[in-house]
Amino acid sequence: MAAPVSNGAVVTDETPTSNVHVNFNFSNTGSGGVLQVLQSEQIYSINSGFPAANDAGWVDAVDVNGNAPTSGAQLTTWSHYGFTQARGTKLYYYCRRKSGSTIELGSPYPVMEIVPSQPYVNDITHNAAFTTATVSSQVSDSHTTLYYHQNTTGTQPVWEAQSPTQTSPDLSVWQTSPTFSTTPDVSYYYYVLGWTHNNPAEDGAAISPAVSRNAGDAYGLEVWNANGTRIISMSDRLARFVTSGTVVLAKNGSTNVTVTGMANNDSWTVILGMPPNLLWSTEAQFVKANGYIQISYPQQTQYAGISSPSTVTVTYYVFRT
Amino acid sequence: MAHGLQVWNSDGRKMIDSTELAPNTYLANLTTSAYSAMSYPPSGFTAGDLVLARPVNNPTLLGGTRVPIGIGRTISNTQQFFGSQAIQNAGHTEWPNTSGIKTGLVKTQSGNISGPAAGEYGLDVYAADNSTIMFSATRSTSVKILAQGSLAGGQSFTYTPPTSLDYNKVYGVVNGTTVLNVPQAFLFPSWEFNVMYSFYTAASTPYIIAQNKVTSNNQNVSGWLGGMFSYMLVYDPN
Repeated sequence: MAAPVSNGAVVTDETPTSNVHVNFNFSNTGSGGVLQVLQSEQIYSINSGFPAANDAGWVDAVDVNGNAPTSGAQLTTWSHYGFTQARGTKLYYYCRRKSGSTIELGSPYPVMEIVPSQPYVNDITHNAAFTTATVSSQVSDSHTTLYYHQNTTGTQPVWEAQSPTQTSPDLSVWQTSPTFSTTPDVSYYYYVLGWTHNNPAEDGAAISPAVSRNAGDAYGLEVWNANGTRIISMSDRLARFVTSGTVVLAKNGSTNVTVTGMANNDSWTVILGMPPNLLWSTEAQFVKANGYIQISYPQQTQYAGISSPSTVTVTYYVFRT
Repeated sequence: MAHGLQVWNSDGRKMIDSTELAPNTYLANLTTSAYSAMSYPPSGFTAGDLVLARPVNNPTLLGGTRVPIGIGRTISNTQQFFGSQAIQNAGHTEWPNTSGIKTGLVKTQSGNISGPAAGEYGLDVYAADNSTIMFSATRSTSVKILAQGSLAGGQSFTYTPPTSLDYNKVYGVVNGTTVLNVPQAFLFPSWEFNVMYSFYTAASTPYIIAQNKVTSNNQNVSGWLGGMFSYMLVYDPN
């Protein structure tokens, strides 16, 4: 038998916040017997005898369609599909060829994958002069290092590694200190990045949602209602109704709805309501433009088993927030 | 502005503007609907209302972890929330939300705030027409926006409410949701439409995921760009 050769384990979708799918990749799947893979919390050297040959964790390697690989060197990376890994953990991946009692261990032995925790901005505090802002965030594992970013535009900064050899986030964009300089009465956006150092892949990063905060205290109103409940405070974000209505769209068609003052920024919110019994209607889209919203119903590729009505009724709701 | 009142919050966002035409909103028709009565939209709905929904306080869970919240199938010309008994009775083998659902409506305040009672104290804000009451410190019941944004096909967003808020008073705006599981039929593959919210009510720190994912045979679909899902998570402070 010929031993398999792995070229790493990578996260296939960075969006889940608890468990992520991990592909175990191979540049050469070896030959003879059956390619098997194993996921473990333990690290073993190749001559240790562990993981045991009869460890229940060994499974036959299969691709996303459940098929075993072809033998030998692969023109493009071949991936075993089926492993998941919790955020904030470090796991090891082993491979081998097995035919009866004969075993050929693969290399590297093992492959390591670290998945960072999902960070969040818990709070932002200012000094008395509103010239500094300090971001509060924490994760509970020892693998994830936190980095911080501040800007005034709300544009998400580059956060994923740009190459397999990149060992730290771009320090011209991210900083290790959670404290930033601020100009009083200016609004800022804050992000936190979870990063795993010494991770042999380019996917060891997770970014928080943005949180905005104004560096000042010259705003606001607190209001209690007659029941003694505080119904509005200066930290609230409220919705102000603008308009709503209904349009009928033809397949691959669009229409413009005039909305005075509309602009493509995050103070304007558009929600589309669609009848869910018309499956293709989930394709409805909108664009916020100066003075109007464009609502479209773009039919893309035809898919088997999905109905595609010639027209669809879309209800739109417009708010300022 | 020559007259009136504008209020900004600490993020620099405008909260109240008396130059707009009755733009503020109020929360109405909060109710809990049983498994047998989960039709959409809920009672009291009028065109233009935003529909809020969330699980009941101690719900049954899908997979032991979460409660999917969104608009499901249409049965006998009546739309249903995902998980309703009507969907089960029609023969569809989707997850049954036997605990029922909590819903509410966010309505525009135009014409809906009554004038102050005799001798009442507080603050009322009138629109520029000098007659429409836009905001009342004693009679308004607005909701707070916790998170809002737009998700393209395949995207998701996770929101964990701070512990200072009551998780049982967090709602998702469901007007743009679609939750369907179409089983495989002959040569046609299965389809899973999950444009919805998932409430992870049993987590040690409860959270909510808004997602816009359409899959076939539980796999991403090549070339499927998807529509746009505008999610909005709101809080009932009343």
